[in-house]
Parts: sequence; structure tokens; C-alpha cells
Amino acid sequence: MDRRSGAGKREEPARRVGYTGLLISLGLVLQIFESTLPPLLPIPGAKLGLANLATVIALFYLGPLEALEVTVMRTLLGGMLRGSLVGLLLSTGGGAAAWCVMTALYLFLPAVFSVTGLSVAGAAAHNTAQLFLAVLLVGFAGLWRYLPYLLLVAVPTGCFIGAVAGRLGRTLVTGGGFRGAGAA
Amino acid sequence: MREEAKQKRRESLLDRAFKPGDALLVAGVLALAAALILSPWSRTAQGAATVLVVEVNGSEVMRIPLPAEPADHQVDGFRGVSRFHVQGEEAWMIDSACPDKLCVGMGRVREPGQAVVCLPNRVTLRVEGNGGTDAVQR
Repeated sequence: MDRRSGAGKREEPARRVGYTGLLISLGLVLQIFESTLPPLLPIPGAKLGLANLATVIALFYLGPLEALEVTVMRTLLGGMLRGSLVGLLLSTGGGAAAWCVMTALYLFLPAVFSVTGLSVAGAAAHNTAQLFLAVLLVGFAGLWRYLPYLLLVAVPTGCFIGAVAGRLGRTLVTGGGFRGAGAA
Repeated sequence: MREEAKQKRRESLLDRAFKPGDALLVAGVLALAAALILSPWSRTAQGAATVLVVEVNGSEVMRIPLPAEPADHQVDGFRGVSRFHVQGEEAWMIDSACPDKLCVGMGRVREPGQAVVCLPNRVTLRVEGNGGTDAVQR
């Protein structure tokens, strides 16, 4: 089924490195692009989470380790480019939490959820972890007040990112392998 | 992980755009959010607003009794100056040394437990009730 299976085992590491790098830069560009957009809602931390797209794609396309690599590299580089330590901590913490939850679902419940479900769970975990870190940084427990709203925001944004990732995945992964792009 | 196992998972994740499991997950997240909103934990503390507490990086730098005469104030935050306005029982951020100005967009605080937070500049403006510590701090 997989076209690349004919390419031979020797090309595997090169392909992996290439795609991982590609996804890191995709995530980085999306992260920077998103930071130039005006805030969605007047809730701190409520955003589309475009950069998570790179992690989601890496997860189902390459595997959990590569997805972690993409997340960590993307947030580290993004933090360095923005020059904000707080931003770096928040995005790395959020990204790591999203990776943990999505990887758990990927490993243990792959038949139950689609990419959309994974993405929603990741968005919810991201927002929760980020709020937790924000509470630690600011030392103000009243920030937890935003948790329900951030969870609410995670649903549409997670669905959106999941739908885009799924659509992209069907085209990108296979190019005619398991299923055409029209299936979305 | 074996390549075949990955491929199986990949196919399973991509075979449909939406599965019953997703709906369950979404319902779970929404239910959790609703429960949190309705819980007593997030209910605004009762009583008249009495004091606006301004904090930088977790430590209190200013305390303004409310209601107050209309006035602009400013504090030095982590990245620069944050300016806010206090008027009557309300306070709001006018400007802050942060990239996204979310704090300015957060609007006004008036009830005990409400807060405007500028995370990049580590400045919080929060309204405290008479008791000092509110439901929020539980």
C-alpha cells in the first residue's frame, strides 16, 4: 500500500530527518504567523494553536518521538526568536502537555479517536498546562477562573486544527496511498 | 516502534474525519467546562468591592481603596511600564509593555475576584473584597 516501501530501507533515516526538519520549520512559521494575528478573544491564552498542526502531523506521520522533537525544537526556536523567557516556558510547557496527551491517545486508543479527537484533547491539555504555568509564574490562583473558558475555546480550535491535519494528512502521507484527499 | 504498527495507527487516525470517540471527548470537555463554570469555586465572591490590589511578579506593589476618584496610575513591570485607570469601582489597563496587549483587551474589573493580568509584564490588577482573601484563593 505504502509507495515508499519500495524505496528501500537505506533511505528511511534521511526521509525521517528531512520530514522532521520540515515539520519543525512549518511549526515555527505557523507559530510566528499566529503571534502576528490579533487575539481571538479577550482571554489570555485563547488562540487557534496553528503551530500544533506540525505536532499532530508529525505524530501520525512519523511517530511520537519525532512529534516530541518537533514540539520541543519548535518552541525552543520560537522562544529564542521572540526573546521572551516567559513565552518560551509557556509554549514549551503547553506543547509538552499536548504531546503527552496526544501520544497517550495515539498509543493506547488509536481506534477510538480520529485526528480531530487527538487535536481537541491536545488543545485542552495545552491550555490547561499553560494556565497552570501562568498561575505559577504570576502567583495568582485567581487565573484558574479562566480554565473553563479555555477548555471551551479548545473545542472549536482543536476541531479546526484536527480537520486541517486530517485533510492535509490524507493528501501528504499517501499521495494516493490509503485514501484520496476527497475523502475529507 | 515498528513501522507496521505506526502505519496501522495512521490509517486508523485518518480513515474518518470524525468518530464517535471524538464526539464523546468533545462532550466530556464541554461538560467539564460547564461544571467548572457552574461550580461554587468560580462564583464571584459576594460583597462590595473594597480594594484594588496591584501586583508585580506576585508581590504587592500598590493597594487602592475602591471606589476611587478617576485617576491614571502606573507600575513598573517585568518588561516596562503598565498604565491603568481607576474610576469608581472599576479599573482597567490602558497600556502595558507587552507585545499582544491582551490585558488592555480584557476590559474592566469591578467585582471581587476579578483580575486583569498582563502576563508578559507580570502585572496583575485584582479586586479584593472585604475579607481580603476570597473564594478565589481557596
